[in-house]
Amino acid sequence: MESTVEELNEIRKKMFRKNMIVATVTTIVLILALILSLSVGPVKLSLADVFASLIGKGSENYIIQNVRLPRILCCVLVGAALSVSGLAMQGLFRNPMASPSVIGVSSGAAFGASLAMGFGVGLTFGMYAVPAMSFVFCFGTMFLVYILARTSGGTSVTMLLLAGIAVGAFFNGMVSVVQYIVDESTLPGIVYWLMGNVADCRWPEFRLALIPVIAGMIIIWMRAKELNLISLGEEQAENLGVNVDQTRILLLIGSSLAVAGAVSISGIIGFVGLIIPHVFRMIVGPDHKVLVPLSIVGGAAFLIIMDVVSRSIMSPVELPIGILTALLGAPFFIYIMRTKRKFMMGGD
Amino acid sequence: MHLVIDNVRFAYQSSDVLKNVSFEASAGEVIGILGKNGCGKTTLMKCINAHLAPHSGCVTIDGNDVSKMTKKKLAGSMAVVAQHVNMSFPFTVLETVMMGLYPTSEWLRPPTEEEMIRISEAMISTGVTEFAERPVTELSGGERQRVLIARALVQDPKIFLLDEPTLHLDINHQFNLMEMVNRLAREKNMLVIIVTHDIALAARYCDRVMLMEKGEIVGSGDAKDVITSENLLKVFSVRADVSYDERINGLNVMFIGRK
Repeated sequence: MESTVEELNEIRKKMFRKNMIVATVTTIVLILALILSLSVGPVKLSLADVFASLIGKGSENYIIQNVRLPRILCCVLVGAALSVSGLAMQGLFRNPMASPSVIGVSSGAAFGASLAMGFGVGLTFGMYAVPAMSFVFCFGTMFLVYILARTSGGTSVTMLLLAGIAVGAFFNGMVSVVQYIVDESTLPGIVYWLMGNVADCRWPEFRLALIPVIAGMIIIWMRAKELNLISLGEEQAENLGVNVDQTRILLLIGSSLAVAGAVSISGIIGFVGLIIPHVFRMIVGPDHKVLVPLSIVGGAAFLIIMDVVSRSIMSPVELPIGILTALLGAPFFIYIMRTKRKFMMGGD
Repeated sequence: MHLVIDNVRFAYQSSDVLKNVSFEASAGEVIGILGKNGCGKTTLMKCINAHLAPHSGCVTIDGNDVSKMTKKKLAGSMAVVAQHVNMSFPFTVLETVMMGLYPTSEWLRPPTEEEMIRISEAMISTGVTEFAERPVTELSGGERQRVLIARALVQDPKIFLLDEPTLHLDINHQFNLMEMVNRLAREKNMLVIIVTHDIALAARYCDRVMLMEKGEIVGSGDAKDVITSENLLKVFSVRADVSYDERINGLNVMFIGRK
């Protein structure tokens, strides 16, 4: 008996060591990406300039402190939020293909936000009108897709994707309606925003997204253990003591907060929530207690790197980051679809 | 520990699946529930574990209504091994078994030494220690079944519900499982309720057998009183010879054919 306990503890230690290594590497990648992205741009800066500017001494401290730093921190928020909410949806829907953009939730959030931008709906919220409207539509869309795709044993992949396509198409159509009838002066703003980009993100945008994104991430991480059990099926989770109804609502609220926070400052940036959790799940396994923090750090690093690429690939012109993630994400989606067919059908 | 099922009625749409089912059971018993497909066995199990709410009547453990207990509290006193278990994500066997700690767990707290001993015991008694690191998605049906039983044991339940536990097992593992369940009932003073289609195994290993037909219990008692040729003909429409066999110190059921 004692030897078995030791043996099992040894396995746990081994897993812990592996997770710590992955976490350390991911954090180092994030830090390097942060430093790199601060120095890249129309004005090239050396590392010494970057560090000097951060403490307010360099010659370029205006660019660093008021342009690049807030933009990069917005990337951190958006990348982390999209990635962790994708992870939560995959566990909740028991389905590795779920992510905000794939299941139409981003389109719902986009509609809410474009209503706010185009017509000032939700003006009572003042500067929070866009994130508030994103949140309401995000939550509503997610709930709707969930109800439509639900079968007795969870959600089936087919139903989920179909419901996502239908609901997403509806909201895309509604966004077009808004674009069609909206004032000409507000139209370019909406169109540019919909492409998904962080080019105009400064401190006010950062402050706007900070609270919903952090709140969403905390809610999801607090429910990581429940997410593990729910990812096995709701009935099993309930038999093991999970209050499934309450957990489900909390997770939907958490993911909606994170997505709404992200979408309202960056527009639609697709596939982050699909790629990042999937990569980490392949490396460390499906334990959400580990996956949640890793997806937060990894999603942030990924989006910063994408931002650097989008700034430098056609320099001096910037490519909207959403176009880049879509170009990368779509082949990745096809790759998962082809290689993980059995895994993908798990919810059926 | 005393379990009371009091006049439980349940209906899907308009048709009654359970019609006023009542029985009582105590710690240390092994009860087998037998019946044709669709007779309400699984629905009864789901009412007992509060997954379904009875339309009338109630289920209580030591006087506490299961439908009013929190899920965590219920899972701490009742463990379920269900019939269809889906495993979409490749958790390892150890991770899966450790999920049984959920009812007593706290956020991010690692398991205590005492809990690790409980896990080891459960894994040893179900024989799954050797594949502790393998993903459950790669196990055979029988191996997976044993992992799920280990997880249920980690819950340290007073009541253990098993729905068709021997379905995916070869004959050796069927005996092994039923012997294990009997041993647990005695050693840990657990109440075990097994829903099964395997009449011979129920006859051999259950202290009490209940026959269900169309949502009602039509026979209950010692295996030798319930599993009779007449009852099998009446409930299952099959002809069978049932005789006492001293080699197994129990009933031997020989099926002859359909009515």
